[in-house]
Amino acid sequence: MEALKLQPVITAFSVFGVFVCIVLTYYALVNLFKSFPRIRSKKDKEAIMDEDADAHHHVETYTGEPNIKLFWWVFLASDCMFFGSLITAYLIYKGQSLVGPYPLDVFDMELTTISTFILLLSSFFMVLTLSSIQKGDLGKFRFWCFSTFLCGLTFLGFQVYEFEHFIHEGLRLKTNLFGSTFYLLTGTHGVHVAIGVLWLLGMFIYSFWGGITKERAIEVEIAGLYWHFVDVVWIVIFSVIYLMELPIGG
Amino acid sequence: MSDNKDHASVKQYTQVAIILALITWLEVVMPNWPVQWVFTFGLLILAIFKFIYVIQIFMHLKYDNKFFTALLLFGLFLAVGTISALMKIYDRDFTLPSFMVQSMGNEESSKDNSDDSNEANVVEDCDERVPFDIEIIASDPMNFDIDEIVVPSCSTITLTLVNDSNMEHNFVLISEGKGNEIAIAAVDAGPLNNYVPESEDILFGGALVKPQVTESFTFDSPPVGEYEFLCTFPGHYVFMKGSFTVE
Repeated sequence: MEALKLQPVITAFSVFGVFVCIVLTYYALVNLFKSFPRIRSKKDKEAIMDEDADAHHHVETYTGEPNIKLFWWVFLASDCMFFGSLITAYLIYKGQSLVGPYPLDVFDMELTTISTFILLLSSFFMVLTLSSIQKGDLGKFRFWCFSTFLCGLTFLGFQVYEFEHFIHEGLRLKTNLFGSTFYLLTGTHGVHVAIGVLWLLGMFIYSFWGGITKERAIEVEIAGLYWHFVDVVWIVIFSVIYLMELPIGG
Repeated sequence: MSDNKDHASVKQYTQVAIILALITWLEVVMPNWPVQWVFTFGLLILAIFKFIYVIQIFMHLKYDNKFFTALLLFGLFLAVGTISALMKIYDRDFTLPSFMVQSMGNEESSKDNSDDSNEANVVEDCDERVPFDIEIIASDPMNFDIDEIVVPSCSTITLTLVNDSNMEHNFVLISEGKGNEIAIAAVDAGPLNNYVPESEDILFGGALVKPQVTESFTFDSPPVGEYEFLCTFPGHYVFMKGSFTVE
């Protein structure tokens, strides 16, 4: 009963939080558009580029931080809620499936542990990627960026193999509640990883065109933020979905 | 940008990566410790540790404008609020440990499914047992064809449950007068437990039998006396019950 009385408070607080986030997002977007250079003619463009080169790190914004970074943090914050709701859906229907296969029938812990390590490793490589471009070392940047990309791709490969294995075992999206919620959650995460992998590959190729420089390390930084976030989400998913299923004393 | 004040050094990053790997290894081997609360709380705490490490060092929130930390916390806070509200709406226990304890119990018993039945926990001491067969047919809508079963004492009962309906049914033998109690507890026990709750009043709990499937269960007769049988699938108790006598 105590928890029931807390319900309106939690709801009110959440609504308040939503409004705050809307306001923050609004400011972030307004700033983002304000800081876009108004490009009218080639001459203007050149003038702006000169200006940019002079004061690249001193772009005036309300927050004093690059707006693109702000935007990505707002996006990641909203993604927290997105994944939060999917994880809740999994937890709510946990143990409610009427027919098999049940989690323990299909999970291959060793496989998932290896892929988790690989994703963790890729996060480490991402850090080194950012560190090397901040030092202006393009060669190292390419090496670490490509390593991160390979790790991400390997993780995706593991996931494809896992899904295929599960479907072979008879677990489909429509089989039971476990199937629906599991595929929805891990699939959404997989899509995030896939986008990150494409992003990393894009950066890798772009670096050969001279698009990635020490001055534009912010581009790599936000890619890193996104990549680490995907890793963080997997930390939660791995604990909640896989590890909690393990039989104790096994 | 490259001075060490703003960001951790490569050495620090390496240290953090090693710590993260160690924590993950710990998480995976932890179930080998057969203590429930160590497992549940340990998992939770280790996951939070990893989470904080990654966002603080790898995502360098620690060295960045605190505004970003606030932003992420808002998102996280809302996510937790959403989770708690949804759990409440769907009437799930939000106190994580007991929730996990319950789920662990489910998994263990689901492994027993291959045995098709839980062992009867109260049996009469007999020198010799005679076999005794019962057939009971479950039909639509929520119906057992018999509501009275009489078995001789000191028998080994082979119960054949013919499920001639479009729903799942089971056969559960319980102490007299405990029907309501067991039927309510069965809902919480859930499908992975075959809707058989843990209770001293349950003398035999059979596995769920799928629609249009016939399954046999074998159990030893309880001591002479009056008992009840029922189907514990949620809602079925109202119609699917009967008396079970050992004489």
